[in-house]
Amino acid sequence: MKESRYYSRLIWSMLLLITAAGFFWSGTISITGEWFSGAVASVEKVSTDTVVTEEDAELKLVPAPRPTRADYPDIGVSSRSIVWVVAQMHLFFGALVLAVPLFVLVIELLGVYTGDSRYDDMAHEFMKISITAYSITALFGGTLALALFLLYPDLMTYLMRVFGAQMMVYAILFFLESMVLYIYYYGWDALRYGNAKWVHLSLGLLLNAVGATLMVTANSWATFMMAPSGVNEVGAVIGNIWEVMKGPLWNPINLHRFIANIAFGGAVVGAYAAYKCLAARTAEARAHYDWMGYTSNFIAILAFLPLPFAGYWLMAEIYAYSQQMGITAMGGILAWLFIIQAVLIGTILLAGNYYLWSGMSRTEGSKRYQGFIKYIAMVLVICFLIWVTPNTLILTSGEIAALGGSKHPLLGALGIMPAKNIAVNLMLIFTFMSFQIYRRSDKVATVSWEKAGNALMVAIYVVAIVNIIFAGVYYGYFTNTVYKVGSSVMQVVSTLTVIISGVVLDAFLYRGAKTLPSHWGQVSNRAQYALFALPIAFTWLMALMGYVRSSVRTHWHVYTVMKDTSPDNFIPTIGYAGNMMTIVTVMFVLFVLFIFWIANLSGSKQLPPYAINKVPATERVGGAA
Amino acid sequence: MMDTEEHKTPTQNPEYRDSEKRWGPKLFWVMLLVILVFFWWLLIYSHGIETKHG
Repeated sequence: MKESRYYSRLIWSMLLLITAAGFFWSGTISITGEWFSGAVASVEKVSTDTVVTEEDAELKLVPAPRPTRADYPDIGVSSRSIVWVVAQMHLFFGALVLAVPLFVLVIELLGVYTGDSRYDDMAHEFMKISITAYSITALFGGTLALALFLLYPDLMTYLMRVFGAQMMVYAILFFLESMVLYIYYYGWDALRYGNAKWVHLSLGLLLNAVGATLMVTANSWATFMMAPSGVNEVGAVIGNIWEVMKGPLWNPINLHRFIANIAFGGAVVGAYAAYKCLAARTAEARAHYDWMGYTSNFIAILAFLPLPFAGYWLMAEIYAYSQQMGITAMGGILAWLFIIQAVLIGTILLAGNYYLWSGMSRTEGSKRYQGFIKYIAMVLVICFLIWVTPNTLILTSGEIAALGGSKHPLLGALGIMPAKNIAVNLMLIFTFMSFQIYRRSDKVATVSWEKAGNALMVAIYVVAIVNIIFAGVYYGYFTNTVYKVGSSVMQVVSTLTVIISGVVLDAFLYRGAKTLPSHWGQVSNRAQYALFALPIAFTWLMALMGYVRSSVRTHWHVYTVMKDTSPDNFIPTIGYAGNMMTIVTVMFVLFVLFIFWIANLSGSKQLPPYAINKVPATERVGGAA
Repeated sequence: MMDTEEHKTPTQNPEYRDSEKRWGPKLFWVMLLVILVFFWWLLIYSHGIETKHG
């Protein structure tokens, strides 16, 4: 009775907290008065004040600052490079700490529904990585804020004026995130059974809700800088905070980052599992971390599959907002970076597939499907080569003369988007096929309609593949651009149809199936190295595409509204940008290794000196896995 | 790692499953609903403005 009263109070407190946060947010944001400072407040006030005329209201609008080069502090090192490194590190860790609790919650829920405590233990261990990363995120966030205010004071003054009290909401959310995160992690064992477990799961929900709100709030600053809304042509705020936040790129970035964060988080914790698996001294520990690595890879690749489609949406919105911006990204100076993107995504897909193929050795039933692997590998490699074929080549005049133009007579056709759309969609379909045969390898269907179900699945694959190739070739090469762009929707739908119908069909086909023995830990070490390749490629990819997203503003701090007149107001060479991306990637990997070491350290215990000779060497400090 | 009984947890023990005081799942699903409504309000609801796409 006493316990029930305690929990009921806890529930009411939580609901009150959510309601208060909602009211606070709505009160802060929707009202356009005192809380929301700057020009918008003055506009709203004058609109309801009959004494002031429209001309007076215009005069009260404050345009964006126009700093000169002298207004940018010079500390002897490139300001852009400092902000570049710190911002990217903050984003890497931010992505990790926002993503991990998302799938941890799902795994924890799975543990509750299956009654298998291993899920619960694995979720708890994933959170251990997140908790160390959280402090590092905050440290880089604070450093970034200081660097921005020091090096770009006019820009920050302007953004503060535009977003006003929304920045304080962000700070409050950060406090809330910290509190809920610590309760969620440290309360894991205290809230483990019965209603208490559900309170813990609800805390996980709250943690993810606060984290996602933090992310979309910060996203609105980035999208405002790319596609400002709620301001006039000189940057004076003329709308309320919703008009400022709800720019055309806000939701595309929200979706893209949400999905990408999950894939990235899954890849990083996969590397942790691989590290522990390789270091394991007992078969039981190796089995546990092998299973953990498999789950991480599953999360990373599953989240990665729909990511290109979110990317299409974002690029389509960028083109719709400003064709100039779209062309700068994909047809201009930044276009070559998309070739590097193809290399990195190809690496991710090849590593993910390789891990699955290696993992099939865990089950005896996988022999039935091993014949497919070579064909899947062949398709992946061919598509990868098509994807990395550039449209234009960097050639000398002699080479151009020998080639008969700047494009290769045969391979030139593969350099444009229709060919790449075919390649990407086929790579995604065949990666899903790897998943499907992996998932099927330890099962034997017992339903009477097994043959018909398999025939239907094969038909769906064939129709989707034919449709993707036909749409790409016919509309891509034999019709005009409007149909070319439209055909990519057909291709996306085909790919999604395969994925969704594959998941649904297998769920019914393998209901009540006979399960074959699966031996966790019985996997090659090479498979674990594939799990290391994934987060490195993901990190590099995020650094690359983050740079592209930011660079499309060219010489503008806030596109078309506030010019960048600093010494760094140019798009650097690809080589320089590549070096910067590599530096941040290496830095992130080093920090991640530090996190793994810390996570491992917390599980180690030094024995008292008098006991050391009585314990076998393998069980001393650092000896036990 | 084979599935064995030793991994089973009492999270779903019958005593709790059949208990009348089992309000935990309701709390969770209601909270999920509240959060989904919140994100609809934050991200999708127009707030009286029209986003210009291009």
